[in-house]
Amino acid sequence: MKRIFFVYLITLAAGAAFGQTAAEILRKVDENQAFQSIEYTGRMEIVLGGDTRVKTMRTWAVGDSKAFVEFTNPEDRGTRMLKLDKNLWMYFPKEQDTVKISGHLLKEGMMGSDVSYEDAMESDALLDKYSASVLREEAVEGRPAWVLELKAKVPTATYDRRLVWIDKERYVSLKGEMYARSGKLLKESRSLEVRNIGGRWYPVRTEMVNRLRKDTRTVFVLEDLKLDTRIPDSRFSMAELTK
Amino acid sequence: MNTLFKIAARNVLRNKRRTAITGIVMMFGIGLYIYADSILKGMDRMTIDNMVNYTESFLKVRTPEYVSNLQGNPLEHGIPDPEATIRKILAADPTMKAAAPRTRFVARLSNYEDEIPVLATAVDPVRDGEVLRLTDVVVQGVWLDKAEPRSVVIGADLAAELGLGLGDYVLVSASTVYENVNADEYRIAGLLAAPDPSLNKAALFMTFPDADEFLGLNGLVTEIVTAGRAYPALDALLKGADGAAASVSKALPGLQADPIRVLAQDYLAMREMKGKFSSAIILIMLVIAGVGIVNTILMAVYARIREIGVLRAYGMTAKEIRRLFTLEGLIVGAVGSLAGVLLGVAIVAVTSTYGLSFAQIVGDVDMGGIPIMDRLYGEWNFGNMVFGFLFGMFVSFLSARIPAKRAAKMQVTDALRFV
Repeated sequence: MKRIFFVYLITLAAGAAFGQTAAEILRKVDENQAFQSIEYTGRMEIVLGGDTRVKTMRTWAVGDSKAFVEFTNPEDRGTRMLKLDKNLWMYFPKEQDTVKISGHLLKEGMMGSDVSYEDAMESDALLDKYSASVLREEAVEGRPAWVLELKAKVPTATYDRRLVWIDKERYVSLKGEMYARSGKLLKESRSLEVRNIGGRWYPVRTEMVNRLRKDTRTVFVLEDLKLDTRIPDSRFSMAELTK
Repeated sequence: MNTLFKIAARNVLRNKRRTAITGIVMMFGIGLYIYADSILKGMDRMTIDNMVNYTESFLKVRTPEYVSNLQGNPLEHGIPDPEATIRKILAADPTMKAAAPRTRFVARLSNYEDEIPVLATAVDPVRDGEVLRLTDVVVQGVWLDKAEPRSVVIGADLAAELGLGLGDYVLVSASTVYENVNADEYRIAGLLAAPDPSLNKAALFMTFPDADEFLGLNGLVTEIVTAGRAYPALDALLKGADGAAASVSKALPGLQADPIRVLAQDYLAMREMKGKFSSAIILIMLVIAGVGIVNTILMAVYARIREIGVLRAYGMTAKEIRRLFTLEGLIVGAVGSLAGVLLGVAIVAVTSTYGLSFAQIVGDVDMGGIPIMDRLYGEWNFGNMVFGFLFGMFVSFLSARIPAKRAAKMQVTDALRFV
């Protein structure tokens, strides 16, 4: 789940960039983002044309492999998602039914948003999948940033190419662009608000835009964020999903 | 018996109106039964033919792993060495006429405003044309064999929904074999209007070279579709495909050959339910006809009680009286049943020749994915016509027995005194 708000932040580097290599930049980004566990209350504002739908949720995640989400907005109250490694299950309380999300469905927008289930639960380290270089320096809304280009080293990388704007002072992503193999721009992300939490800079409001659709965007907001708290293993169980 | 038959025939003719009413009820009951059966059989034939010709084919070869993950249309569990497999399929059974590789995947079509999910298929356009008849239903533009590279053929309804036309570019996005998303623009080379609405509303076809570049298929073939020989009747087609699938399965250990009976199992299960439903309707119709016969014969009995007394007084036995009234019922039943069969034959002759517009029959009702949308032709079923006639006679016999028994039980004196 953490993918939603920081998948765009992790970068890898190659080559020197104004005194720092891309690898050094990435390491500092990692220092901001790395955690053992995360717990937060989230809010997704899905804008479709003139309509805005709001989904709220409580999320727990450990490492990259385990995540549990419970939706709390009135329309979806009780809908839960459990992610264990590459598997994702959804529980629908009205139908009392559990559905395993797999294959192409993982590419669909989660709960109608611009964030796919796969985006939401991606766990692979990008270092292993992308080669990076610093393209240039550029300010993003007044903040100086490095523009890193990430190119897929392996065909299993989620996107073929990415551009990531990294804040030069706080080492967080300010902006991201994700491209398909064909060169088409698929998605764009923007960090709308970055906060210091326990000495770490974290984006707590991120906007995602699907460039294959018109007039849609999703803003993901993190509230009550806790890092590295102890979450019992029982949280990530089928029993918890269907209780 | 001959005399009894003559008396019965005269009595039937004497009560012309009553006989006519009962006969007409039977005629419509049996005629509609034959018509309904013909239409249902025609619907079955057309549905299965459409599946064989446009979507599923005669039999399909896939890996068991692919079949067990069918719902996700995964880009994995492909057929190893598809070309060798095709050669083995064609050699496995003399009914196999052609085979073609296909790879199905889920994609999204976008005009940069709206996105619509579609079931996409990578095809070898020439060989696919030898198996399925999609080339026949390209209503605008061309099939992929005559199209430029980086072209797609999509359903006409789908294009209309996206506000796109021939020659426009459509953005296609899909998961590749590496489970990442790719998106690219393709030119619309052809529009399909097939008898199967699912093709028109949510189908996209592209060539293997384009799909390879788009999805990184690297030779992945998820299924092989096949064409078998032509069969005149539906049951023969189903049995023929079953037999061919058995031969192909034997020749291809490790692969699964599913005949059209398996590929169309959802429809066939629905057809079985439909059969039960139509049987219930027919039963109700014949019960109504039976009640008509009971009523006619009972009326005849009560109208002629004095006559029965006279007949008994002249020495006719109770058994002969029972036979007489049973014969009267059977004559009415025979006339009604024969008229019903003739009516059915006439209707089937018209519907099997000229067909019926499917839209006229079902209106705008969504048929839940039944792959029929053009004209529906009735099917001849002579066995069922004979059955309809015999069933009518049987119902008439049973219906006539009740009043006939009552007539036979009457005492001579009571009958003569009856006013």
